[in-house]
Amino acid sequence: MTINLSGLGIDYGAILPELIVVGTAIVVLFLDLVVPADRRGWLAGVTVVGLLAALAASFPLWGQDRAAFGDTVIADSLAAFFNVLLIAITILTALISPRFLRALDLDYGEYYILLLGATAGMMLLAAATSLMTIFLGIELLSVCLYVLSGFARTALRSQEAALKYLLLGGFATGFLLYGMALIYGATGSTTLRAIAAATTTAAASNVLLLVGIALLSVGLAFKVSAAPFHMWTPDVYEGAPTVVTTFMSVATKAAAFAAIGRIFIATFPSISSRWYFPLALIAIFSLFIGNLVAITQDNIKRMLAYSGIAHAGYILLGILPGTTQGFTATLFYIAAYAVMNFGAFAVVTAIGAGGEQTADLSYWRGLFYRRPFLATVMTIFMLSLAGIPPTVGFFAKLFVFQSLVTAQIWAPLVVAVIMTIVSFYYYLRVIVVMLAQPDGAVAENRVGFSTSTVLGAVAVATVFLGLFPSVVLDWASHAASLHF
Amino acid sequence: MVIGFAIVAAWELVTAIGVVAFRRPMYNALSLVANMLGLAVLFLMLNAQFLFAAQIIVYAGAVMVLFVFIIALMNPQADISFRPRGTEWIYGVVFGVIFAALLGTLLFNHGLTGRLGAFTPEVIAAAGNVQTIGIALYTRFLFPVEVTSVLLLVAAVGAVYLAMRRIR
Repeated sequence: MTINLSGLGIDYGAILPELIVVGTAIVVLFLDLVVPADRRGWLAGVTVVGLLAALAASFPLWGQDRAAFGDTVIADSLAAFFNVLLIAITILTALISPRFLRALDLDYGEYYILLLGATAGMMLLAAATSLMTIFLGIELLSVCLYVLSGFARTALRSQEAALKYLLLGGFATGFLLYGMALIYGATGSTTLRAIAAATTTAAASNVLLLVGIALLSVGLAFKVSAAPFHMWTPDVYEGAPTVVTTFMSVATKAAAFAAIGRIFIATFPSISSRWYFPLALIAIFSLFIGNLVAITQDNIKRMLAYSGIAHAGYILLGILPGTTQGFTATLFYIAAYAVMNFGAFAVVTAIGAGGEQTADLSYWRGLFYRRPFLATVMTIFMLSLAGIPPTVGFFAKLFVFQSLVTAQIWAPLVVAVIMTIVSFYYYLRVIVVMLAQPDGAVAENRVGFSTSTVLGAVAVATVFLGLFPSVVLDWASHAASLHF
Repeated sequence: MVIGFAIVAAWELVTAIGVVAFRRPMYNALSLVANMLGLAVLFLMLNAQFLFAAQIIVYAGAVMVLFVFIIALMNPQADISFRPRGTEWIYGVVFGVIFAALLGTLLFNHGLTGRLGAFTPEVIAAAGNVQTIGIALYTRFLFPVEVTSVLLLVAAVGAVYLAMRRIR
């Protein structure tokens, strides 16, 4: 038996961005040995340089349709869209990290290696077109995030978060893998292209396939922290070091939704009548639980965690129509959510560089008088998360609602609109608390150059994209035209 | 064949419950060993002799022996009281039973329509057991294999970080 190498589709160009990110991780791994302990900020610099190279390598993938490595991975506009988004998030995270890590005495090189590993996993997940690569992408990002959420080894809360995330994540992985196995059993293939070919309208009554899709959905819903698979989110977001929460809250969700789009919209359009109802239910649950429980939270990290659950619901709404318009809205929402939620958590990170109890809402009283810059950008992010114009969050919601109207999907739309009004309460409450008279001066350290630059840039982006949403919308609509 | 499968499947179920139900860590680990042996038998029944051997040597042998060693060395107290507090376990049982009943009725009413794979015993016999796996791993599944190596690398970095006690 001879091995035929020509049919393998070996194409390193298609995965060049991922290769660069993994390569950077290995370079950082070795540099960590020689860089002196008080100069670990350099590792952040190396990380950023490597990520910029990966960013540059992502642009040529735009507009292509390059299936590589036997259909396990693809280089197309969708992958390029997510590469740019994920790499940008990671660069911003790496820029705000050194100060925070030093403050908490966590300045170890492993942080950047795991950050890059998680990014590589997310990029792979966004580009994956085979059940195996989807699984490996999810595992790669999860393993890195398990360790990162327990990165504060001496803090009990951080250890608890890591253990909780690991156990529940392992449980969700079981569902995911079982679902994949059943889908493989029903269709005889692991690549999405072949699964799509095997899934005709007649497959709507194939129980093996449907149970497989259901279990797969459970695993993915866990990753995007959609209700009722959200139980881990508040504890992990609260316990993990804030800078890690900043990264994982936006990046994981984005990457997992790329896979959801490829699976539900591109692979199973012929049986959309079967997955529509469960997904709609998950979206409605997320909107209800996320928005209603967020009201009662006095810890800003927990509040943002529940708000993240609610936003997972909004993003999922865009998947429901199964149309390109809906998926465009989803992609726009993901980008908007990445910008505004990153910003909100980055403010918590900047304030938390002093200590961990700062996430309590009472600490934020009178922030406008003590830290006018941080309070101002936080106001912008809160307005955007609530969906008030002229911020990007308004258009994100508008486009999703629009796609639901076009598709004549009314029940989830009504829930979403009502819950949006409910959400005003807890977002605006943060602003009100920050405006209240301070009840005593608390000594705080300054924000630092790179962090304030990142915060300023993200705040400007939030408003700019709110004024000119068409910039991202054009990219999103191009990336949403899935074809494989 | 079906009877054999039913016996092994029942064995798998019982040992899997043992992994989570026993109170002593050593019993949990040994249940897992028994579970993996049953899995190996399943591979054997599917004519995958190489996977059978690999499963026994790597998982039941190497990995689980390490588990058992670690448990023996750490010598945790016999009863780790990890009982669910209050009435939480009732929800678990209720939803578990509902889920199992749903799955059961679905499968019972509709039956399974799987698809036969390409690797029938005749095909494997013609190419050779080890060769079939090796060629599949390093051609069709080359990329996933490479990604797995990255996964192991970051897992090692993370494990070393968490386990290390750095003294400054």
